[in-house]
Amino acid sequence: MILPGCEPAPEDLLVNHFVIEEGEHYASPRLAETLQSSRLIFEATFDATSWYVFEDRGFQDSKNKLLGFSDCNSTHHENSARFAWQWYNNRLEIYAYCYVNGERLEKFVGTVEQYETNRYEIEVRRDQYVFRLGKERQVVMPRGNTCDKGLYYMLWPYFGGTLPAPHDVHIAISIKR
Amino acid sequence: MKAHFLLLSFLLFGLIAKGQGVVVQGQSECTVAGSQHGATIQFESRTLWGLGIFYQAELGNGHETYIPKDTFLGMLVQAPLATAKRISFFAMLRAGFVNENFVVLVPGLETRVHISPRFGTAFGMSMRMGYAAVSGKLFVKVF
Repeated sequence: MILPGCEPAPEDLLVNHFVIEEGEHYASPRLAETLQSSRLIFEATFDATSWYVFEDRGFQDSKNKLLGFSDCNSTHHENSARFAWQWYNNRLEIYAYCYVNGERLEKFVGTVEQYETNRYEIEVRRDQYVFRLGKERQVVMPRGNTCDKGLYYMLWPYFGGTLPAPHDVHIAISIKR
Repeated sequence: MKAHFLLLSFLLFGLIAKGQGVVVQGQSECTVAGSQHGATIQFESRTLWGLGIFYQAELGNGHETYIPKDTFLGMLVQAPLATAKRISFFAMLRAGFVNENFVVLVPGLETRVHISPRFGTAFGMSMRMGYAAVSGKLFVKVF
């Protein structure tokens, strides 16, 4: 059997519109999925709701999580790799955000514009994660001592840090299959 | 890992193999990322509980040959929900590895239609990559 009509779904049908409601950390819809390849590639678009200013400026550099995965059979606070974002210095900053054997590591990747769709990629290598933003910006992070064969569960958008979303935040994400 | 998988397979198959049937299936599955093709071999009890192993892959286009891509290899458990003479409904759970390293669990439902006592076709729905996937199968009861 060939299922001749079966083509990859059009990309515009595969966009997930995540909303983190005011006062919440977790985004809806809540999804459950596992990573199925050594490369997580997706496109993400922020809109004007990505702007926020906390009264307590000490929380302004808390990283909000965009998308990523926990590493092989690890929880996300043990070994994981995610893109993170924050509104800081009046710009939307993107970070590589990892837990490596329980230690949190962050590295600035670049800035993006609101309403601009950007390509993000995390490549899992034996000892490294390679974060790519667009075609030019790349950051390499160490990978912890984990297995290779196992469960890699996806980590979805999350606001915070400590403080919840000060208003509804909208993020459109399209994972490349 | 492969040795453990094979050993576990033989042990589990041995438990249910006495007086049971063997079913071989060819299958195609339409996922959000495209179609995959493969085969399943499974033991089935008289009450149609089943345990099997499967392999499927997308046929990626090499330059002059088709090469397997996003291979999905693992085990399945089949539980009968309702059965009649020619048609049966099953709940399925597939568990295995995609691209060698990545554990995947796939729940699904399947409708099987017997064309003859030995041959038949089946249609399934499952969740793959966060989206619904549909599958079609042709099966033969070997014994």
